[in-house]
Amino acid sequence: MNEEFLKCRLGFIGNSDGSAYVSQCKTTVAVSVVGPFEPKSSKCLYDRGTVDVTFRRKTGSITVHDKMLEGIMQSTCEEALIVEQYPRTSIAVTVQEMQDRGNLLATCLNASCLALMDSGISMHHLFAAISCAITDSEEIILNPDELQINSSVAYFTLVFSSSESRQLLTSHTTGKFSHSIYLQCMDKCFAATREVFSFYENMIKKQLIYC
Amino acid sequence: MNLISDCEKNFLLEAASQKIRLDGRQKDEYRKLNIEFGLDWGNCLVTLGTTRVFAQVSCEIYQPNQSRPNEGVLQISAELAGDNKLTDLTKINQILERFYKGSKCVDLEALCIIAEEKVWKIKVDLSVLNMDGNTLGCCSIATLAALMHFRYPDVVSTGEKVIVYSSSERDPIPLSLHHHPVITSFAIFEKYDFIILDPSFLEDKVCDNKLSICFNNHRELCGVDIEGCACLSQELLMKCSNQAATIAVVLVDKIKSAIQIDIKKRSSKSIQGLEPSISEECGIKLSLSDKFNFVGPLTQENANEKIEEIMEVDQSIVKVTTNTAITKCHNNLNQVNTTKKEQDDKLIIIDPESTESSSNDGTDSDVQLISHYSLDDRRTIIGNYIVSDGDDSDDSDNSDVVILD
Amino acid sequence: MNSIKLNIQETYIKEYLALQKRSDGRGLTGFRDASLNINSIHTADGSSVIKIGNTAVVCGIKAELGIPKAESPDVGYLLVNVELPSLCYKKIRPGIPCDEAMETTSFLNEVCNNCKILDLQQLCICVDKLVWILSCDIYCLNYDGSVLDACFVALLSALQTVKLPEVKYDKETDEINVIEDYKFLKLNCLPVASTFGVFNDKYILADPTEEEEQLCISKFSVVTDGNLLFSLHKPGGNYIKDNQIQNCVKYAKIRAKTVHELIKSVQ
Repeated sequence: MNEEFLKCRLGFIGNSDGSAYVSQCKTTVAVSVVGPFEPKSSKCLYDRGTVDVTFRRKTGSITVHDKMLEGIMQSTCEEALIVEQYPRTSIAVTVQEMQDRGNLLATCLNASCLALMDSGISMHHLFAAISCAITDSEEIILNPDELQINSSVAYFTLVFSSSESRQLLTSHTTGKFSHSIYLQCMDKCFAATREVFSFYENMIKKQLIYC
Repeated sequence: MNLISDCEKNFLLEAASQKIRLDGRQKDEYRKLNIEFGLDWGNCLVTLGTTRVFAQVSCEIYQPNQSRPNEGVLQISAELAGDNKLTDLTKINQILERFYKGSKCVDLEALCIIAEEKVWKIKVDLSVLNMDGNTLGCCSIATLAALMHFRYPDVVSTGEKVIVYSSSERDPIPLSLHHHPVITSFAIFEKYDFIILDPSFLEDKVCDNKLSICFNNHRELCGVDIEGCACLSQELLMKCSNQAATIAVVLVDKIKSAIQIDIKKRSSKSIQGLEPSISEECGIKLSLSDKFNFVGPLTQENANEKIEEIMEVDQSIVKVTTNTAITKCHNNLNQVNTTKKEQDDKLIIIDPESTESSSNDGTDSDVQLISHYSLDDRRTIIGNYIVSDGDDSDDSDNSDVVILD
Repeated sequence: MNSIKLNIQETYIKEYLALQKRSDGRGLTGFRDASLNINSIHTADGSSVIKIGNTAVVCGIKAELGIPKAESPDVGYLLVNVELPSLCYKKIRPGIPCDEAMETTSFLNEVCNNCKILDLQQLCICVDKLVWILSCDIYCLNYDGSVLDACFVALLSALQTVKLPEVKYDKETDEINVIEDYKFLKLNCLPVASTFGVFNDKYILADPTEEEEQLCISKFSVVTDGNLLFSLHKPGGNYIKDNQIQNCVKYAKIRAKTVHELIKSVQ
């Protein structure tokens, strides 16, 4: 377990409506939220707003795998926002990878949630993502580092919503595993997300005091 | 985002007439410059005031251009991140390419591995995170800092084979730079004879002319770019270039010292990498403890929860012929009708050898041609098989073959 | 898209669901009938066609010789590509591959590589010089929901039909001799995907059709070989409850066995 798990700064990008600069262990991403703004007429929906997530690698090129991560982020963000409140608009979320030392998807998702909170767009619920790896000896490591991920038999990224009951929003897994170990991971990750949500809360409190 | 109200514009011009800047800076004062380096080589975040540019240099082995077979390739591209794509960066891209490639600051010949076959391609990717004036200047600092910081892997060519050493095997090599050019931007208010350095976003939009001068650390001019209807006098230009030359030396020194600090940190293994600086006003951190390892007997609770729904998958497998099988559900409405008595309920066959096989399998009267086939058809569409009537046996004596027209 | 139309459809389907039925006559957890045919394309090295309900997917595999990557000289390649052309579904525009095609491609590649469905070492002919490249092209002919499920069955059954000849490679002269001694590929496991649509926190629909997918608040895919889980993929959307996950996993395991039987019966 790393000592400093999450570090965050809000309002990092002045030109956007909401932004977050988040590092989770050694992985760092910057997320900016712009909107709601008037989109091109082809993207305009009359009864709801659209959410557009762009994931940018630091070297500029995007692979098919990145496209999948982008899709996961997009549907997770879209579900969290009350899009019905913003008809005929578009909300653009840009995720810029800055440094990758494992757990990129979880960091991106947490950063997007913080940036969306900073932007003040209405949300149904908050979400927090936690990654965990399973070793050969069926040991569960929360928030593993790069080495631990590479040597693990399975690796999960789970996203939970901020509601009291356990609500799994997103699950992305690699490797083989049994159902029981998945449930154990869910328990642990769910417990860890509670900490992340209290972090979100403190973050916003602090933001409000100093602004 | 690009529009400025008349009030703002007039206010700024009024201030300019009194030779005052909105943020209280002197006319030749730079904003606070901060350069941070990441864990990877050639990765840096440059903050100039609130303008932020993130740069990453990458390299790959590449086939050289025909015209320059023994030179590596340098490519610089700047893109906007985190803005709603209204601003265009093509001009910045052009200027950067012109100044950095044209001034030949990177020793491209040193990047050649095998002439005419393999060279290194060095790519500088700039992400403009926040645009708040002097984007070009900030981009140039980021480009230079990233290029100076970058290390590329060592390669050895043994005539036919090229071996690329990973960083653990051999220390990567820094790029060799002939000189260090850096761009200084001026905004000129012609009417008031007011020239300011490092314009902010508003100043950038309101001013009459924009002048960007590129100097290297040896006080040599590498390029000039003038935007706007400039009627600049010779003295003014000279004055600006002198100023730019001095500033370029200072900036390059700053980048150099930042890199030195970074390298010192690396050798003492205390490198932090890019991460938000946590101060009193902004940013907090979370430390995860081990305590929640014991939290939640949730699984046990859930295990007790009865599964109410009953699985109703009772599909059986029906093998039609050697290559085809179907699953059949007993309580499905749209089940495949394989063994009905009616003639119509046959599987449809598209078979490359159908004419032959059909004539082998039955008489001509048994063959039914279907001229119209809809996608709604639940029957298998492609196959190489024969369906028998009644019993499940595979004998083809009295079978009907249906051929798709 | 069109909320009025969706509303009408939703009320319609809800009334069915209250009776534990679905509009096409299936029960809530009933899977559609599947039909599978292998060796359908004679010009490909391995091929199959699968039809699950109205969803039709064809997979063709081409085996080629190639040079391995420098960092992994003793393994061949298994490249999977999924195409969702505009002919299969009205919402897909012609031109660049749509996002869903890319996501499916990426997902299939991830499962294939991480779970080692194929020992890539058996594709190696000569270390650092010559390996087999298996390019698997999966084409969707008709999109009617649960395309991922169909893609997996198509890929696996097509892989099982691939016969590779023995190749002799002369290191000195770079000569390649193909010996007509065909051998089947050995697959380690057969992962089967089962997609579930979460209609609301009450109903889970197995193997949803395209119409149902539009109405469902989220999709959930379980990839399993009947014993171990290979992936529990839920790309965002609304939440899913714990017991729903457990049910889905249970159904997926039974379904995997049925599909295994199906694949086995055609061999």
